[in-house]
Amino acid sequence: MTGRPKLQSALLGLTPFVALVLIWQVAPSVFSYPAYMLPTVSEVGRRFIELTLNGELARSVGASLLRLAAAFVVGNLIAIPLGVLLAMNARVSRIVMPVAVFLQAVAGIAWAPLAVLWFGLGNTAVTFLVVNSVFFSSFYNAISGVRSIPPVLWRAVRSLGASPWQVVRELVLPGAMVQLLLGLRTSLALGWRALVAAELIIGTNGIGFLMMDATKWYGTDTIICGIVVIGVLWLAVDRFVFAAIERNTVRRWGMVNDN
Amino acid sequence: MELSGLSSPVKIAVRGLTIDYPGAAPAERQRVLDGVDIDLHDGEFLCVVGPSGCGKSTLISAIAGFLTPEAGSISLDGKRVQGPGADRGVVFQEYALLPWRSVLDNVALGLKIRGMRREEREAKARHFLELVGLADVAAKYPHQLSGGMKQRAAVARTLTSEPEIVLMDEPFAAIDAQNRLILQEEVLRLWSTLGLTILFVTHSVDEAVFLGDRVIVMAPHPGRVASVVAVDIPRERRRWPAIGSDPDFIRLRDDVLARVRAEHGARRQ
Ligand SMILES: Nc1ncnc2c1ncn2[C@@H]1O[C@H](COP(=O)(O)OP(=O)(O)OP(=O)(O)O)[C@@H](O)[C@H]1O
Ligand SMILES: [Mg+2]
Repeated sequence: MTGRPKLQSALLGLTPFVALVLIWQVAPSVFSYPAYMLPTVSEVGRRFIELTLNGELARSVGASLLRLAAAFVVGNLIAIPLGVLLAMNARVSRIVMPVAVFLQAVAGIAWAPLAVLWFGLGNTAVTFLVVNSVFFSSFYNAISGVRSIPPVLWRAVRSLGASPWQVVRELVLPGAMVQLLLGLRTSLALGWRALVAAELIIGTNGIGFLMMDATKWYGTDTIICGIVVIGVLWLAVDRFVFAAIERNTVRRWGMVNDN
Repeated sequence: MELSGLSSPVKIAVRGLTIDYPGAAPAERQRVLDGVDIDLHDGEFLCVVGPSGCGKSTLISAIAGFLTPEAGSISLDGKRVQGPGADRGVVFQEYALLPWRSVLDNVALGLKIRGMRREEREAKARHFLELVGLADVAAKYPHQLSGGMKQRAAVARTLTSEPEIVLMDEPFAAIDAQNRLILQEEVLRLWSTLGLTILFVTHSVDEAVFLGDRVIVMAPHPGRVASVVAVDIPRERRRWPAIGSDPDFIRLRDDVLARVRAEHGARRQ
């Protein structure tokens, strides 16, 4: 792959953002609305610098990311082994599946009331909600990933004498990799969203809390700063972390097609 | 049934093998193999032909240990087969290479599973890749190979594990006619130089008569052995294209073809 088309596609992806900022810039001279509803680009920029300099942004983002990382790791450590085990074993599937489907319906933010009553407002309750969100996406993707492995590959590996553990290592994990990566990616995105939502309603710090707290004094500039930071952070993770993993695994193995 | 005058000991003994496939409903349960008896002798090249759906793949799967018989038994060297194992290598029609492993790693997989050290297993895998003419694509991934190359790699993977028995289920069905003849000659060469014991399933009567010491003709509904034909053509005459006009070959081919035709759509009374 050469540098030029890559740069070109990056610029192409940037155009909608540029257009949005331009519209935002000219909006005050076209429409009339109270200034606190939508601050100007430069006001948000100034607020961003302020929040950066006084350390509030770093503290909030740090608290959120730490919580997200913990929930992401815990959620996936439960979801992936359980999903793989379930997909490989019909009996486990019969036991776990009904509960999983039941719980899926109330996954995520619907647990907020109970979480608050159990853990109180704050870190534990928020993390609990995020783990819950992370879990289901990875769990279902792990199951469908393992089930998508062609039966003939199972037979091939078993007839080479593989033990169950060798089957997992040589066949199941790489064979389900496309879906496992998809699950990790989606679970991080859903976890990120659940995190912000949970911080908004039951948090005591973090980026979501920062935004919600700003409503007390009509801090639209802070809120917009928060939205931009949330989006940009996710974009960076999606582009650099997951795309790189994909390029070095499933793409190299010819397991996904470029569109 | 009299099973020709082979003198070497029996490696695989299939006795009264009966296999059912469960249908969607209990009433749709289907008998796929019914009382199959087969002896596979040490060092033999045994071919199986028969109309589509007569249970050839089922027979291979059962010997490989993927299916549980309803009745009857399969034994290897007198020991009952209970499940899949490295003593019976399988070459699948769909190649069944692992997409996430290079050709070399695919071919070395059986040795890795057995716990052999990396340098040792790779040296051995390279040796077999050379035998099937794939030495220069060892570092590629399966999706970068043509169908014929994939099939050679699959054959190399099975042979590298040095199984006592090689089970091949229509391995060349998806290969074009020209390459198919080349692969047939190659598999014969490997069989004689490595002293293999092969059970080879095919749709092609020509292929079966070209390759086999004996050809088993199966009948459908339910699957069973209809007849066994001994192919008494000396090995040195088995070369394409010359064998195509060999009178013995033509006689045997027509004989087997007539038997397969007779079984086509036949049902046991
Ligand atoms: N997994 C399965 N479940 C139910 N029925 C099956 C299954 N696999 C095969 N059958 C049935 O068993 C019969 C024999 O199938 P098998 O694949 O062994 O035939 P075959 O002789 O290999 O055919 P072909 O020459 O087309 O490969 C067929 O009627 C098929 O419909
Ligand atoms: Mg078949």
